Amino acid sequence: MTETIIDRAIAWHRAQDDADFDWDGFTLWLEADPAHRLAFDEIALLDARIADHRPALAALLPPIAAVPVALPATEDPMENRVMPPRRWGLRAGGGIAAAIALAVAVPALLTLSPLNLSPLNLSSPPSAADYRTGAGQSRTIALKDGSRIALAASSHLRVEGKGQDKLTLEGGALFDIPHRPDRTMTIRAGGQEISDIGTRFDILADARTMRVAVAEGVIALRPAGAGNAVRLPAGRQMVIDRAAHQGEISAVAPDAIGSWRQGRLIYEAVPLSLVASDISRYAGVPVRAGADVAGRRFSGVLIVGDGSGLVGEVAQLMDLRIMREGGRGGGREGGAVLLRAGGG
Amino acid sequence: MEGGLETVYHALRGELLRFLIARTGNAAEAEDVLHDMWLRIGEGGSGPIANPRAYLYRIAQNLVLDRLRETKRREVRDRAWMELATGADMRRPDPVDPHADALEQMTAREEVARLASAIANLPPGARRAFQLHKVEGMPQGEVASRLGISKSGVEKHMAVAMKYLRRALSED
Repeated sequence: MTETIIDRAIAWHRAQDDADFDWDGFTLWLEADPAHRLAFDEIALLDARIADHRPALAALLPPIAAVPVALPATEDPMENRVMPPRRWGLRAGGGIAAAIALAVAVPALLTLSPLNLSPLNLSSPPSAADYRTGAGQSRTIALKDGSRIALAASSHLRVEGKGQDKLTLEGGALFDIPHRPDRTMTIRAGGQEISDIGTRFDILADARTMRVAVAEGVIALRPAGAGNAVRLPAGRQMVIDRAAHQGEISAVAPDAIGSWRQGRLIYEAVPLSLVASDISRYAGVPVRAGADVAGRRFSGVLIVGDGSGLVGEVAQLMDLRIMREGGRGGGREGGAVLLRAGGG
Repeated sequence: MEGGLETVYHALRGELLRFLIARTGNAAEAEDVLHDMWLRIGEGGSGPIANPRAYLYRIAQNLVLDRLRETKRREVRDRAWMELATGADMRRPDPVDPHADALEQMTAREEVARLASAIANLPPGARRAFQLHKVEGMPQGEVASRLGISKSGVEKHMAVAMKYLRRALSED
C-alpha cells in the first residue's frame, strides 16, 4: 500500500461527513483501483475501532492541558542554580525536545549505601513507621502535617523523626508536601537526599537508578554525605545513575508526573533498566533489561491495564526481544523476563 | 416524508448500485446492501431530510461498514478461540458459554489498553488534535480554536494521527 493511496483514503474518510461530500468523485476513486477500496476499508475500520471504545479511552488517556505544555527553549533556569565544581562537573548533554539536559557528574565520594532496613536502630527516635506495598497494591500515607504520599506497588516507605520529617523510600512514590517554614522534610531515596520546600514530586528508585520529577515547587537534591545540592524546580526531572556517578537534568511535563496513579506510566528519557524495574511492580513478574539495552533511554506512555501487556508494549516500542529466564524446574512458569536488543 | 425518500431511492437506485459495487468490490454484496437499504428506508421515522441524496449514500456507506465490522469481529473471535484452544485444558469438554463472556471481556480490556497506548504515543500535536476530536468528541472547529491553530491545521494533525495509528495497530 503506497503512502499516497493511504493518504487519499484518510482524506476521503475525513471528508465523508461533510454536507457537500463529493459522492461521485468518491465512487470514481474507488473504481480506479481495488487498492483504493481496501485502503478505505482499513481506515474506516480503524476509526470504528476507536469510536467503539471512546468512553474507556477518554478515562484512560492523560487529559489535554488547557494550554499546550511549552518547554522553555532557550532559557535554562538551572543555570544559576547548579553549583559549579568543586565537586560537581558540568557537561551539556543531549537535549530532549526543547529542553536543555545538563549532565552533572556525581562526585566519586558518593556513598552508595543501600537503605538500612533493619528495624532496630538505637539512635533513631521512637516514632518510626514502615509502610510497604506488595505487587499490584498502592496505598496513600497521610502525615500529621498534611503531607500525603502515594506509595506505588512493591515499594517501602519509612517515616521517622519527631515531626515525621525524615523519610526513606525504596521503590516509587508521589509526594505532596505542604510548605512549612519551621521544618524541612528530608527524603532519602536511591542514595540521594531530597529536602523539600513545599512541593509535589515523584520518585522512582531502584538499586542503581533514581528518577525524581517535580510537578510543583522546588526540591533540593544532594548525594548523601555531599555538601553541594541541586535545586530542581517544577517541570524538571533528574535521572541519576549511581554506578556511573552520572546525573542528568531534563524537562518533564508536570501533568505527566504521578500519572501512574491513573494507570499510566509516563517516562521521559528514563533508562530502560529503571523502566523494567518499574514495570515489574505491575506485571507481576520480575522484569529486567539486559546489559545491551539497560542504558537506552525510553520516552513514552505505557498503559498499565491489568499489567499483562506492559512487557509486550515496551518491547514493541523499543524493538526488543523478550526472553524468559529459567523459572522453577527450568520451565517457563514463574521465570523472570529479560529484555534484549531485537533482531530487526 | 417516506414517500419522498422512496421516490428518491428509485430515482437513484442505478447510481447507488454503482457506488456500492465500487465500495464492496462485489456485485452480489452490493445488491444485498441495496436491499437492506430499501428495508431501512421502509422503516421510516427519520424526520425531515434536507439532502435526500446524501442521506441515502450515507446509509449505504454505513451498511457497508457494518458488514466489514461483523466480518472483522468474526475473524478476531475465531483467532482468539484458536489461541485459547491451543493452550486449553483438553479435559474440559465444553468450554463454550461460561468462557465466552470472560474471553470477550479480556479481549476488550486488552484492546482498550492497546488503543490507548497507541494514541498516547502519537506525536504531541497530532495527539492533542486526535484526542480532543475523536476521543472527547469535540467538533473540529472547536479543536482549532482550543489549540490555537487553523481548521486545516487540525485536519493535517488528524491525518498524521491516522497514519501513525494505522501503523502502530497494524499487527492485529
